[in-house]
Amino acid sequence: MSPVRHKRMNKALNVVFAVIVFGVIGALAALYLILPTRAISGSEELSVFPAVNISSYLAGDFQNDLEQALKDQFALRDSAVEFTETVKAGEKDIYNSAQNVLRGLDSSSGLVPFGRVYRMNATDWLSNMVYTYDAATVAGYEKKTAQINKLAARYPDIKFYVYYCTRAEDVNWFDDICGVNSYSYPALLQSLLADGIRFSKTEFSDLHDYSLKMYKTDHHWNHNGAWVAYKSILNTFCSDFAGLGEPRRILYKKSFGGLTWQGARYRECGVSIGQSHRDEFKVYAYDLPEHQTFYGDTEMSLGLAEDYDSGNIVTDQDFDQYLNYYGFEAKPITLDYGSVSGYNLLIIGDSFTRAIREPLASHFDKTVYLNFRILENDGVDIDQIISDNDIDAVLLMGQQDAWSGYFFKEGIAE
Amino acid sequence: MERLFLQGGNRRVTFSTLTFLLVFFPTLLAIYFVIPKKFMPARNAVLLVYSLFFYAWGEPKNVILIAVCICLSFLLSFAVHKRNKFAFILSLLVNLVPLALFKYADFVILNINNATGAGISSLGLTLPIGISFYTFQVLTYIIDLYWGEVELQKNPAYLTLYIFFFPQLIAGPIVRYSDVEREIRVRQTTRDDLAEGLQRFIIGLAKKMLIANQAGYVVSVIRAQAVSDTGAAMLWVSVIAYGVQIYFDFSGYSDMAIGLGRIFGFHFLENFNKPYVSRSITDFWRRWHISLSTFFRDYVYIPLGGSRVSPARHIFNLFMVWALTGLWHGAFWNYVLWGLYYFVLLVLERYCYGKLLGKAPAVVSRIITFFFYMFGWAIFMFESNSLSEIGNYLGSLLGLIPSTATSSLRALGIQGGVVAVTAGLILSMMSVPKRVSALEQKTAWKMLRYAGLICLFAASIFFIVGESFNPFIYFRF
Repeated sequence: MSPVRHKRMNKALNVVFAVIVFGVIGALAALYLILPTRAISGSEELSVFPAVNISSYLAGDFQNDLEQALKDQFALRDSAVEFTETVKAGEKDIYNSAQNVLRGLDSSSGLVPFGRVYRMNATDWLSNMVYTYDAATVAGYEKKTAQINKLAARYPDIKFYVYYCTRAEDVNWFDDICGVNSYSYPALLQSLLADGIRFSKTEFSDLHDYSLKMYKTDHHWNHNGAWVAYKSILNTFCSDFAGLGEPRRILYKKSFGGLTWQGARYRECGVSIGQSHRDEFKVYAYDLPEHQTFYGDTEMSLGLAEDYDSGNIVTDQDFDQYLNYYGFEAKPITLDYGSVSGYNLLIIGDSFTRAIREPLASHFDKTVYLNFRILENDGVDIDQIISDNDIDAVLLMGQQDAWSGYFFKEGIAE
Repeated sequence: MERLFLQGGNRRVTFSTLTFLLVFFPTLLAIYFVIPKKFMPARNAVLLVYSLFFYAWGEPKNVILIAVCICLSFLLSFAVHKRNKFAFILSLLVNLVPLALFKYADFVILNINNATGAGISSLGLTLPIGISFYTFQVLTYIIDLYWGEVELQKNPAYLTLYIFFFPQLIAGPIVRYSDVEREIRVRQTTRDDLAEGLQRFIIGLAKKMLIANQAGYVVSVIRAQAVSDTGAAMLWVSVIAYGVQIYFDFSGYSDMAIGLGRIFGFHFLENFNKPYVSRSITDFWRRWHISLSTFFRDYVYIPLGGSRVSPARHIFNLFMVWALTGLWHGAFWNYVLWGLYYFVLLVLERYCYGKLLGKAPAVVSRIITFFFYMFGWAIFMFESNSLSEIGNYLGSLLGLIPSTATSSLRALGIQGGVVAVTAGLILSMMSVPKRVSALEQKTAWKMLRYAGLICLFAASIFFIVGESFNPFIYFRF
């Protein structure tokens, strides 16, 4: 090739290269205009394009929201997320859709017991053995539901809701291999409740769905699971109360520099498997209105969320991030959102409630939250709370043992 | 939707965001190149407006601070040009006082409180992004003007464009006014410039997204554990990963800045020259962050007398340069320690073992140098004002403090990141063979290269979309 032709060819190539690069950029930008906006992908809410707003621009929220919307509404977003997660972990997706199981740490399958803890179908998710029929537990359910039914009967103008927080032990992932007959406590609970008390529970469509919503090493729901439960409970409220509004928007997902932690199942099974099992601790930040929070009578923030946000984080692998982020409740908690819907809510719950307490309360003027444990131990006057706060709805929510123990102190619901 | 705490928010427009790639960059290009070449002031106006927008996107309130500094510097420059010493000192103060206030005031207060128990409240000022870089850029103009090495810039828009030009505004390279003085007024972009600039930009983007961020993920996962739980081997993995991260992150950013400059007709000087193939620490600092080391060389070291003085004075000159270099990086004791570490190494190399190192086989001198700069990164990455914490960390790193940690790469889920670290390490240390260099003139090779770059561009966009971990290390400085 002559030098002149070679030079021309190179110049042409430069043009072709630039055209392709700008063509890719242009095509990607154009796809945003062509494709419809998606609100949800799997268990994750996706960002949508924010409205231009000077105050949110000055605060930096508009910039964040726009970048996140560009990411979330990207044409190949799901593939990109899956691809980068795969590259990071250095192995294929944890979920094997062909076999509907989660890939494990090794090639063995079935139950690998570590004390009382089991791996679910050779996955990274840990669980205790499935719940089986236990006469004492069933008796506990009967006693507790009788108390709830009496309480509801005393307040016919108040709507009562019971939400069962489903755990791994409620769903027999082991049926095909362990031969244990599981027992459905949610079904028992529902059957024992009086008519008029609305019942609902956490649903998992399959093991993959479970893995998206729950921690590997702990029985609690993660940020995704909490978000799904919050929407589900709110939806149930909306069937009785008008004007509660749409679910609060997720502003962003907080992560803490790859902070990982190991939950209760890990602590039960010890180091040998625990080293291989960690959950990244992440939290959804919701678009909540201004509100006041009272712990007992003292106005204060709950948990260590502010410390986490400022980077003051305990990174010890055994540190219970879930508990410490949201905070323990040894006293009644009151969340005052001012005039939101004209309704007040009483929540009686357990540790699962922590992750959804604020967003749920934000749909009510005032919400009082009591942990089942303090109700039993300290004998909080529930009638007084209902009367003082003009309660319109009572939500009782908890995991399996919340319904067979932590009884209301004698007299409270009698 | 993810916001990373510990690393701070990421609301600024960086080159590795979709806001930049799909909104900012294409609209700027379209408007800039629609304006005919002969209307250079209009093209400059577009660049200036976009640069202001670029900075204001992340730091809307701090635009005023830079604007005030630039205005005062511009006004004082007329007197500085006439060798007015008072105006010269005043213009230095106008730029250095904000830097001192925002970056070092709390550090000074903390240390006064620690030393005296005074209990002075910290100012809690947020560091304006890029302040260390743009301050130094203004200084090169002021000092060179005082020394009579550059012409007075009478057009405030040109001076503003020099300082605000978005590619180098927030993380360098520190572009000297003398290097772009002419190009601000007269420049053109050929098709070759456009292609070369795009190539350079894509290479930088890929360095950042495919290597630096993956290495950074490894660092963040390991560092999320307590030092006492980590063990020396895993700490070294994090240090090497950090070495890869900071090189690919910063050189990637420089590549993108140089590439963008080229697209708009500017020719910035190189900021890196394969630093990880260095055979000595002296050699390393000729290759690493060249724009900063030459700044300190030309504006501090040589004015102090350089090396053509007595050994004692030379050592003092080196001490000044490296204490300042350490402090420039941040108001933490680990950065001071890091600067002094290099001061000691450079003094030892100059007066003790430098000749011996020069005579050693290349592989030996490279391994020794590798250990020294990696240990330097260990000091650098452990941002802390507690000397005992830094001591514990370095002690654990050197295996002097026993640990019972048994964590593995697999247990931490960072095998993929470690592959990227290994790839990065190899890429940073290898030279392109002459046979491959010769191939670059072939058309087929060029086609292959362009195809590869387009794939890298696509992969980089995939990573931008798919992951939330996207910090630029040098944005903090």
